[in-house]
Amino acid sequence: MRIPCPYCGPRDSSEFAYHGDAAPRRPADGDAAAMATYVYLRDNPAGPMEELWYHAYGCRSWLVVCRDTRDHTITGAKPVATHGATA
Amino acid sequence: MADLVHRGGYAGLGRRVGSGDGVLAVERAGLAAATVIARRGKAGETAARLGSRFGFAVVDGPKRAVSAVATVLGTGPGTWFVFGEEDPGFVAGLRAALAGVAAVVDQSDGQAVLHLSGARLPELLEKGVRIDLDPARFTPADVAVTAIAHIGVTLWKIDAVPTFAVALPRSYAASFRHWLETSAGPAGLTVMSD
Repeated sequence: MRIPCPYCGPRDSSEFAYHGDAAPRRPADGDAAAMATYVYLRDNPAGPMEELWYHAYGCRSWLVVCRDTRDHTITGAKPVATHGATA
Repeated sequence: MADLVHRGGYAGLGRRVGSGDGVLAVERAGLAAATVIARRGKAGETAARLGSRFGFAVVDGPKRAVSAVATVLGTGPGTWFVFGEEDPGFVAGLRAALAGVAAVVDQSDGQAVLHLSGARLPELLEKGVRIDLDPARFTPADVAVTAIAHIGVTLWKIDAVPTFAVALPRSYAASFRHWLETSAGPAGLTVMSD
């Protein structure tokens, strides 16, 4: 599987660390139910999914990669900074 | 008090493997090195100040800019690796030039640099590098931060001969040389250190 890093270019997936679904957002403190959902519950879609990958052996950027979970087709990768997933 | 003597990461490791003539590896000791990491939103200004300090254009990308006194390598968004000749003032001068826009950390004693050349070098690199090093795709203007044998390396090309340079944390030098000797053995390898 090859991931098109926006900085480095196409790289083998072995250079990356996988973090998981890019969708969850940390809820405000004090809402225990929302926090439990944020920590534990994940969708498991069959199809395109946005995921967080860290380019550990390259430019050390966090990326949002769109991967099809059925066949690993990757249709895009962008820096987290432009996605707004984490502060 | 005894003076501490700088010892390169490959010091004392010089030897020949096989015929010795397929790949030549020469340690590039005695370099000043520093990482430059731009502060938030200051990547453009950091690149501009690096460029004006050394007299060449620096971009925020995986590119190499070089002059007689310095090599600037793009290693990530807003980050660069800067090499210069051994000089206690090199990193201090860089830090002063980038004050307020970037963090500068001295890596002079932390990196080991090898220059690789030889007729059978492409064959050797194919065994360890997972990126396209075709001369049309990877030129002396390019830099790659990648892994060879699970060791994180910064790889660049000095000339079109080709001569490649590999920088890695100096404590990995012996492990890297093990990969080098194992992979280049059939082609023949000579390792030279200062």
